[in-house]
Amino acid sequence: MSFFNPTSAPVIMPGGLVAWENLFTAAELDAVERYGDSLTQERAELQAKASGRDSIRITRVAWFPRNPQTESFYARMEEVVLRINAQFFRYDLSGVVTFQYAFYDGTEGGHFDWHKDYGRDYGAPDQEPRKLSLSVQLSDGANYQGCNLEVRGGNETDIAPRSRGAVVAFPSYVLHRVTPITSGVRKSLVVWAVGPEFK
Amino acid sequence: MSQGNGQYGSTLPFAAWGGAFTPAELDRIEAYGDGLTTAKATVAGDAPQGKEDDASRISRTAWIARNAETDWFYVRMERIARTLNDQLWQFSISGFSELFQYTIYNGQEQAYFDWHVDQGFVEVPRKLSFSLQLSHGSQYEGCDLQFHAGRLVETAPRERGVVIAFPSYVLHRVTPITSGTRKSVVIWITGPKFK
Repeated sequence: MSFFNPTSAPVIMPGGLVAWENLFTAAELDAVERYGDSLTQERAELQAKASGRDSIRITRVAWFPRNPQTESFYARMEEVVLRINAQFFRYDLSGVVTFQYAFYDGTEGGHFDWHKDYGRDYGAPDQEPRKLSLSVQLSDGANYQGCNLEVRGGNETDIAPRSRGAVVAFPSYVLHRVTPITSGVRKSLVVWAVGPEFK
Repeated sequence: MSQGNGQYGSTLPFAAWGGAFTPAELDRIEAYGDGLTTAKATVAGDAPQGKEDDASRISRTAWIARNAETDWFYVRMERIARTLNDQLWQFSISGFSELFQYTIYNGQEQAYFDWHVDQGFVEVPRKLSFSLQLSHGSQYEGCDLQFHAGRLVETAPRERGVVIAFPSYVLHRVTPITSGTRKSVVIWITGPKFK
């Protein structure tokens, strides 16, 4: 039973990225952002194994737990995942895992180099692999420079819309990156849907 | 068998299998391929009516039909494909629904094939792609088969006879050839769309 009646529709971009804008009200986004900001942020910095000192990722992240305060947003995102999956991907999915609040800061050179999300997490071997990756844009694109989410699913690279509240979705085996932020701050929420391995 | 230097465990960007063919068998494949008329390669689905697009690809290709002369090669490749799939990917696969493609990169044409994937989001259900190296790596310069599956670009081995296998969604390219000639056979396994 759906309680969610969006006035906009998702579109598919030339490289295959699915984008859905105007899904949330400003008040809903404010609430998510306020909750995210209250969480402890740890610096996510993955060192490249092979190539010395430059990092592949500089982001502040926090886990965004499912609890009474976040439940309505989780439920909403589950509907978004189901609708996008039904229309574009038709994967077997089991559910969403804990969301990740991500914070790119212009004073830190925040970025995340090319990578994929698909596969089992070595730290959680009993969890099914991530199959669908989504990002919810919480900042307005005018509030920061750089920091584009680029997705290369086909033979063209798609740049995710920068409008506040925009949701994008792509298969987790697709290569993607966040380009360096040169000023301002970009906040986003990363959502993964998991399920049995691709067959 | 050696495996690609992947960081994803069950989702290796590519695998390489050497020694699946004897030199005499490789000679036989090469002679058969050279005997085919080589039409200039097309992009846009590799269909005969596909448009030529020198901006992304310059190579010469010909289709290797399955017939009495080539059946042994199809049988061998199917065994290799199924073995690698069973070990590494466990995808649901149907078989070869496309002919094998004989491909020549020529140094005089500075042939190459820019970054691409063999399967987009909703296209032909290619699941796994294979490349059989027919030329010795010392017979040409450049012309590396490369993969972009993580931060670093990885290069496939150049030894004659090695079979390189990868999921068709992995971004890959062939860098420009600067001298000599590289011959290879490109093969796709199809199957039901990912679920």
